[in-house]
Amino acid sequence: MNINASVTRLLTNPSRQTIQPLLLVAISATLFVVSLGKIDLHGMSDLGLIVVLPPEIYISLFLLTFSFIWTVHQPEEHTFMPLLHIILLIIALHGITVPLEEVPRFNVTWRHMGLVDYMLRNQSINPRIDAYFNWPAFFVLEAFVMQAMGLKDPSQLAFWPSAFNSLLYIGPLLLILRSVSDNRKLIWFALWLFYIANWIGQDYFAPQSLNFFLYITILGVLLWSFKGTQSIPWLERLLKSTHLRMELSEPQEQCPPVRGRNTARQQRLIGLSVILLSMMFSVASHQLTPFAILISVAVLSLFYQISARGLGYILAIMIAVWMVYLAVAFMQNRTELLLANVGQVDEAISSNVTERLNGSTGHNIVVRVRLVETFFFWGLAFWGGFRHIKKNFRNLVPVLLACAPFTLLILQFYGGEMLLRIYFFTLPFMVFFVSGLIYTEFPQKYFRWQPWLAGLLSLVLIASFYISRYGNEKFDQFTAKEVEAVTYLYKIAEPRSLLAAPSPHYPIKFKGYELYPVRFYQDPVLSGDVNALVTAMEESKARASYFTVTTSQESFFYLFYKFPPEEMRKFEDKMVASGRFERIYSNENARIYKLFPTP
Amino acid sequence: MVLTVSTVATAAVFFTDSPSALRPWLALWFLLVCPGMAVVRIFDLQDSLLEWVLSIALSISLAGIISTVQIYTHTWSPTAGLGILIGVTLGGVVVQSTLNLKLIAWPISPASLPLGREMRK
Repeated sequence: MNINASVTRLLTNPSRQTIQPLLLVAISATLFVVSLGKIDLHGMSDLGLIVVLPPEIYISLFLLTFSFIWTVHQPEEHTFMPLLHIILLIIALHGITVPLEEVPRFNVTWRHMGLVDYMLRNQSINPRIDAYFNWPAFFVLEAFVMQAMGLKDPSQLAFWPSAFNSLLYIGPLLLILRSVSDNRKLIWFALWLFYIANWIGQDYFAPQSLNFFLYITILGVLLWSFKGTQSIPWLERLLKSTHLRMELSEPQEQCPPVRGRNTARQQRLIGLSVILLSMMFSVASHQLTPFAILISVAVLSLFYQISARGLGYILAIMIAVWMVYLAVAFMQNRTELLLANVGQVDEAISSNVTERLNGSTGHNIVVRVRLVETFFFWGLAFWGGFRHIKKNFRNLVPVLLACAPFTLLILQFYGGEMLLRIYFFTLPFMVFFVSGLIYTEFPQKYFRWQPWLAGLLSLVLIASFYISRYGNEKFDQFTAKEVEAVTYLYKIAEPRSLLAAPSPHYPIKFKGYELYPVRFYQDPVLSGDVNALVTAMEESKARASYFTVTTSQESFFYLFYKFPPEEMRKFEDKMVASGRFERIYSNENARIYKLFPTP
Repeated sequence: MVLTVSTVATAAVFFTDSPSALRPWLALWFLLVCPGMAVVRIFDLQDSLLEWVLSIALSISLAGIISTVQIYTHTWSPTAGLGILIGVTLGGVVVQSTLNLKLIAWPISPASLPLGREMRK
């Protein structure tokens, strides 16, 4: 894969095979940009962004998909053209909200901005505040980057990560895919599928997004530069003892050999150094990804698929040292709770799946589309994986790495998001199997159907992508007015004042992270009990107490509890009528109330 | 050449605290690519995809580790941190140039290369 040669050929010797897709890409991009101007986010319903997308968006993506499939099926090998299509796909799918929204979306983004703000103000760590301060390296890095770039406001960094991180993933994904296959069409289609199937949305301004890059980089480097012997002594002994005959020890032929022993040695030297440094940063910046890396490396070592078989021990020691010495404040009080969750698979599934199946009709449709899409995709992947094992038992790597992250499910449910994270970690290998179903498993007489199947699968997944990914957009996206309201709140509230709200779905915690206790009281709102709200807020014994209601919270309450905005307004009127609250701020998207102290 | 120019430009905008619109893009390019690329190119990887992946991962990890060490040791200084990364980049460029100069000044005969030996067999 040589992009320079590809670009040179394109410029010096353009052919129909390059001009035609370039034209289609240009039309697709123009159509997409023009249609962005027709999107009005105020028209969103509980189905999210999809209801406001004009038909031109879909025509644009149809053209892009057609052009991509056509390009990949050309006999002439290109790197630049498929890559260009994938970059545009990333912008269309993962970057669509950037030009549409006034401020960064997603409440967790604002919380993370608050952590960066903390680092800049205090230039130190207090691990007793919460878990983030025990794995702070991502926020420290962002603070450093902000100062190097001369930025004054963390929100300037927080707008772009989805598209930016998705672009970063291209390199390591290609490295992984070419390590397990030399089928050009399979590789490009798998990469294309990754971005369509990645509806999870874990690529926002968060440690997980950067750590995923490190995860796939480490795996890519190991698979490319540290190929194992593919002979699995313990398995061969086991098979021998059961009298089963299965050839395991023939070398794989997926990848061309590295030129010369010297180059291989140099690749391994720098590769190992980068792996170790990446792991050091990962251990310091995320709770979960180091375990995903460790489990994947351990599985590869156990099955002799990589030559660096001692690496797992080093990684385990790094994790242990961090948890024992630097995350000790977090581990001290939570070890029992964490251990209690080990093995609770049914609870993990419950909190990840079934507990999300409630709320408004539109929200239920979104959740069901996500579940159907996930299980459909996994179903295809497992079918592809099964056929892969039947046909090529020796190529164990994708099977092992598709399965290994599932072991994370038995560890603990990670706040109800473990299944989403597992989907993310396994996606590079799932897309390999799905792509392999079309591009390696077909009998030769059906080869002419390959582009049609690839195109159809792409379009079905693209259509469901906008529902799955942006189905919660009604409460995930915030307005400048909401930010203005909360900024006013931070201006008037003294440190140690209680900042309360019905739910966390608004831009909060982006200033004074450690200075203000923040609480959420949805039960009193749902039951209409103002006294219960007053009691709960007074329990915090804060210097002053404020209660903020925003339109994004109203949307959340409607989507999740079928609690209409009119009921929220009635509750707010009851709050004022009780004589305990005074409205001190109001704009079209937010109201702030102050709690009077007990007379 | 690109590494050297990027490093000098980044140093110029940062240490003069320039309000230029180019500063964020220069700094981002530098932090994301340059230190890693300067080190990775010392090795003869003969694989441009691997080079880029390693360079970006190394750049991010170095910046992250340096800044995290600073905050844990209460020595927070973006100036020093960037200075270290600039030093790593320029050091890598110097080593690359030295290796290239040695190859030009004392060309190695094919027979002395491992590949050459294998081919002769």
